[in-house]
Amino acid sequence: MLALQLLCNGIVTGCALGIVAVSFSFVYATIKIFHVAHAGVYTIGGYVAWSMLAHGFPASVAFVTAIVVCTALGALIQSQLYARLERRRATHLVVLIASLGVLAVIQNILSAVFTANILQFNLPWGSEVFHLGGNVRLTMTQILTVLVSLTAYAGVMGFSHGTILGKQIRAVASNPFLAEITRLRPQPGPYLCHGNRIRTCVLARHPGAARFRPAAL
Amino acid sequence: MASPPLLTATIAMIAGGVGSITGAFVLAIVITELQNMSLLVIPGEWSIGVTFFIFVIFMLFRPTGLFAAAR
Repeated sequence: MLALQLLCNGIVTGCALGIVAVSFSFVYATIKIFHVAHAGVYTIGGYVAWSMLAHGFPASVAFVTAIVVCTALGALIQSQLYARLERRRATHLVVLIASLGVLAVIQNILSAVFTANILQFNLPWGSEVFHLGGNVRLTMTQILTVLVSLTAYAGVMGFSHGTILGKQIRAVASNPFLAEITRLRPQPGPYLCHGNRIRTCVLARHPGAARFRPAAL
Repeated sequence: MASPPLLTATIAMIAGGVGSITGAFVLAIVITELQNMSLLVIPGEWSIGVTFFIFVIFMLFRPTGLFAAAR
C-alpha cells in the first residue's frame, strides 16, 4: 500500500515538475536559450497569487494577476536581457550564465520578501482528502495538480501543433533564416513563446499546489 | 543552485530529448517516480543521488534523449 501511495505522490510531483520541463523544452526549442530563470518566474507566479489571496482578493483575480505578472516578467527578461545579448552576439554560455544570474536575483528577492519558509495557500477545500482504493490518500490539491498539469500539457501540444501561430513558432524554431525569408517574422516568436509557457505554468499553480520556497530552487 | 526541482526539470528536458515537449513531460514524471519509489529500498537521503546516477547511465546509452526521434 505504501508503494501505491508513493506511486501516486510521484505522479503528482512529476506532473507539477513536468510543466516546468515542458516550458524549458518549449523555450529552448524555439529560441535556443536555456532559460533557467524560468524556474524563478514560475515561483514568482505562486507568490503573487499567494500574496493576493492573503490580501483578500478572490482566487480567480489572484490567479489571473499571477499569469499577467509572470508573462510580463518573461517578456521583460526576453527584451531586456536575451534580445540585448543576442544583438551583441553573445555566446550561448554567456546567455546561460546571465539566465542563472537572473534566477539567483529572483530567488534572493523572494527570500528577502517572503522569507525562505514554506508558504501554503489558505484555502480549506484544497486540504480535502479523498481515499482511492483503500489507504491511498490524495488531497483535492494533488488531484487538481494532476488534472491542471495534464490540461496544460495538452494545451501546449494543441497550440503547438494545431494552431497557425504554433506552427509558425515551430517553423521559426526549425529554421529562423528560412522563416524570415518567408516573412514569418521570427522576432515576436520568443515573446509569444514566453507568454504561452507562462500561461501553462501559472495555470498549473492551482491553490494549495504549492508550497513555495525560493531557497528550494 | 542545482537543487531538486530545477534539476529534475532540466534533466527531464535533456533525457526526454531536447525540444520534445512530450519527452520532457513524460521524463519528469518518470524521474520523480524513480525518486519516490526508490524510497522503498533505500534511505531518503540517497534517492536523489541514485536517481540521477541512473540518469547518467541512461544518457550514456541514449545521449540524444528518449524522444529525440519524434521531434
